[in-house]
Amino acid sequence: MSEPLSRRRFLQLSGAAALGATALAACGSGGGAGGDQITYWGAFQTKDLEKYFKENFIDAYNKAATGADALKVNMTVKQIETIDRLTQTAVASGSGPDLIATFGPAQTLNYVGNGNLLPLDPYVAQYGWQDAFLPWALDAGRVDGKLYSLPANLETMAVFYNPATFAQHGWKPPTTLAEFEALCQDAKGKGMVPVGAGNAEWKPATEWDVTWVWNTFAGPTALYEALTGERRWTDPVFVDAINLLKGWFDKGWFGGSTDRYFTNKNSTVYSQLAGGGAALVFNGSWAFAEIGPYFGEAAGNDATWDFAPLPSLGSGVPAGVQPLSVGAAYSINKDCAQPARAADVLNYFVTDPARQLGTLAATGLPPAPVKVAEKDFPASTDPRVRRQYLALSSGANIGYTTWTFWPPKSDTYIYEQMEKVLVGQLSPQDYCAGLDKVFQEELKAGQRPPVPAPTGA
Amino acid sequence: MAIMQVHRSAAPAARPGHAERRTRLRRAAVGFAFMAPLLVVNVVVIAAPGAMSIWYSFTDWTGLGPASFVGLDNYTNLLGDPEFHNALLHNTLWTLFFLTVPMAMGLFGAFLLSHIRRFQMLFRVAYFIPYVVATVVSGSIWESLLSPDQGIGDGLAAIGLPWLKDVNFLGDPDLALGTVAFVNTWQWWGFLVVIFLASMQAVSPQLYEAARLDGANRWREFWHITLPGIRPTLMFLGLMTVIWSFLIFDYIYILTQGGPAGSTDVLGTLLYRNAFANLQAGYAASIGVVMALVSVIAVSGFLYLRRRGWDI
Amino acid sequence: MTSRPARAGALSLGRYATYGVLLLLALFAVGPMLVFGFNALKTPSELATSPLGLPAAPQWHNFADAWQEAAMGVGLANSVVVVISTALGVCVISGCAAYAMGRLRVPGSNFLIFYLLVTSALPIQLFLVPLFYLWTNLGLYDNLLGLIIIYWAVFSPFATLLIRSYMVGLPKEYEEAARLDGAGEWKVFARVVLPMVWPGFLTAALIAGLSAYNEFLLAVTFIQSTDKMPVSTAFFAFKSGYTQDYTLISAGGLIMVIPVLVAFLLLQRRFIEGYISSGMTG
Repeated sequence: MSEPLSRRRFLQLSGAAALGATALAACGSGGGAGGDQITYWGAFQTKDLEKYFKENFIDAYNKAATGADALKVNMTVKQIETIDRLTQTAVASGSGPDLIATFGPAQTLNYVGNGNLLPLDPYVAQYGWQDAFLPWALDAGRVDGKLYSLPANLETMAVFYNPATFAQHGWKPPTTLAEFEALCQDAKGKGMVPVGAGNAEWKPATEWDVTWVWNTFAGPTALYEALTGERRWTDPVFVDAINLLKGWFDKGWFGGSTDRYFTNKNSTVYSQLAGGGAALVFNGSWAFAEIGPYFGEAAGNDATWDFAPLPSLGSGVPAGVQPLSVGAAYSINKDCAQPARAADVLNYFVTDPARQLGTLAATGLPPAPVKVAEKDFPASTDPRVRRQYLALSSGANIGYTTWTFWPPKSDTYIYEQMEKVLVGQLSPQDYCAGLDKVFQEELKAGQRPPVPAPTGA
Repeated sequence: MAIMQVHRSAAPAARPGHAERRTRLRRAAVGFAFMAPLLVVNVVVIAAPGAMSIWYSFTDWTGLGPASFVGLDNYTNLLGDPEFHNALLHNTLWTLFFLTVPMAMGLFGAFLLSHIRRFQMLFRVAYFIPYVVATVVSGSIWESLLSPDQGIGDGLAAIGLPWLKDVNFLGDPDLALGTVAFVNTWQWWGFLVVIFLASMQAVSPQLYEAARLDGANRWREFWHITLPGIRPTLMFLGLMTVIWSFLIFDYIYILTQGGPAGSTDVLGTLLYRNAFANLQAGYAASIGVVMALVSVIAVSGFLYLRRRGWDI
Repeated sequence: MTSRPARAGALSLGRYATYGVLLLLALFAVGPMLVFGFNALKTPSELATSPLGLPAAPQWHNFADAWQEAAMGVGLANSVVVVISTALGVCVISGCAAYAMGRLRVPGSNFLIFYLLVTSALPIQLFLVPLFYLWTNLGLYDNLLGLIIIYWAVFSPFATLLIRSYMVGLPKEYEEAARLDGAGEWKVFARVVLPMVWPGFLTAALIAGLSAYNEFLLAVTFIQSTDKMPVSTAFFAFKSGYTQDYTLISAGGLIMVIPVLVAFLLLQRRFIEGYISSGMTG
């Protein structure tokens, strides 16, 4: 390591990283060699998504940005598993990117609490964000009346199934608790896995089940009351729902058995659905982006998939609740020297319905929660996907996903401790009591993201 | 230890006092210059950040914003935290496992190897191979072998041995910790064989001759000559085992991430989660300090005993 | 190994048993690697139906696919830079320190040994988070040089103790003679001591290089950009990616392991003697 040659080589190698660290100083200082840019860290599930985003968002923006004061966006690609922790530490040590991407408004709160973000209110009128977004989604980015983040994607949960499997066994998508349990019983009796599920790759997957069961058993109204502090999490309606879920796991309905649930990967779940080994899969609309390779030509089979709205498990809860999820949000780093230009980039990233839906059609990636109409969808959009997003855009019968509307520690508690409930180390009562303790503290500390009121069916 | 001998000039100088002291001073200065690079990187990378962590362990730092002093709160919280107890228990079990099972396997393999001449080298190499395989790779090897869908269980069932079929080693909370320890043992025991073998070969052959004249069998040979003969190695590796067992992270992070239901959670994974996922960097730092204390105590105890003249 | 008179007759059965057990143990050590190798040559469906069997028709393209999808080429190139720089740096740093401790008898050496033992036994997590901040501020984050410097610090205590154990055994007459001839400390070190302890250096280099190649936690924390990842994190990123194809994962894993295996088999005496002489045998 002493020869100058290798040192030069290292300087070259470190060029990009140094850029990231110094871009803040250079951002807008004018004339610096390559320093005039807005830095952005992206992370993608697949190489194809990365490529699509680079071409249609980054490169397209840079091509269009030709004005005198225009700045280009420089995207650095990070790993999706570590980007949040990485961004946190970098921002805290003053060297984060200009545009801060988070996994949703709950995560944004941490940055707001530490004063890392610039309010976006000056740009709301300029870009017409109030009208562009679904109102609840824009509100989710407000803290103490100030807007700190723009929602970057909109998702919900649904139940996925294989129409051929359903036809073969004479099933139809369950709409009530009785239908759901009868279907599971029948499937189990036939040696199938009633509900394909697993959390081997993504531990938080357990909260998907907590989310849909609470939304369909306790219902959005009860959840809204609990989220706003009017009802406790120890309320029987929540405890009973967890009891119900635990009972289904004990019967081996989820993933085949509880131990299998812990080692099943996404690929296992989708393959089971495609191969007729699993009857149902409760999943988010993000499945649209990853389910493709397991069905039809790509997988070398003739299987197809479809989805149905969530069933109703409790009396008084309408079927088809749509638990809302904002799984990504964008903010501007307070250290950014050219916030107006950064806001322009943000606007480009999330508001144009055509670009959002074009991405959805091409990749299955969820669009930002902007208002869309039937005509906005490109012809190439998968009709199943269009159906889902039109329903979401109507804003009817909304529910709440734990990762969007619960404060950060409560959210972690929900999936970490749920594993203990599933293996019988923690009772549903104690689980809910523990959540209540964590939640009330965070609620008092102002850690809960804004929650829209339920809309009814 | 050679290092403890007082330095004496080889040729007695005419005037010992003054000149020798100057030489010694000069040599000390040169010596520190030689040590400077080590000390600099060590302080920058390990000591200074380590000291900062100790400070953070007395604060409520989230990992993001400013930190404020909270006294011993983190430590008192640790005492009452069931997750910490759980992790500590697993580290202790892990230590006991690695002090016994891989040690016994290593001693057994080395003892057998010390009794053969032909192919000894070949076996030694074969046993050592897993040790050079990266953890990420050996993690994958066993993830695939232990998979309930396409692993050993199914392979054995196909040839008529159905005992392991449908056993989900990494998914069953009762089996997961033992399974991860087993995978780590696979990588580790061959290393022990090689070290023990070398140590056994240094035991004086006369002792064996004498034992044989007394009509000792192999077991007695092993128990009365081999084991006492390699005691320093055993003690040293025992010490390292205790230390490493409290630092274990990679295998668990790669195979189970501490799950299912915390059944493989250890201090290392608990710390990582608190630092990076739960935004409790101050609390995480206090776990790190506890882990470091275990190491310091183990090393100090070892050196103390050695200084007291124990033959270890 | 002492040569012992072979015991006749009755013992040959015991000898066969010994070899039998040793073979079983060897199978335990190497068998999983072989299965891994077979899996790398199967199709996914063949893997599901015959997880332990031989591949029916070797799918050599799996290696090419894994090479491409996991970006193993870039990863290996980065790893070469990291491994060589780590090994050289550790040798220089530890060689100098070991010389000071082992030959110059610097005051406080005993304390330093204790200190080194402790720092090499500290949990990396203890200093990980503050180091992350420091490195980010110094521009060493997501930078191979930054990772290499950390490796220097983390691997040099062990290497120092290792090289020192070689140096302590040297008769000191050679140095004294050189000093009487008027050689400076540097010259004594470079011309007299170094040539006699180079096997120690080689061993330290091999061990540091291997550790750097296989290291995971620091690499995954301090390198983010795909084009800078060493092979361990490139492989991990591939393995924990969204689609799970064990045949490609196996192929990728083999690509990572093969260079190490070749180096180990070529230099196995050096490797093994190195670990043995590192003081672990007392």
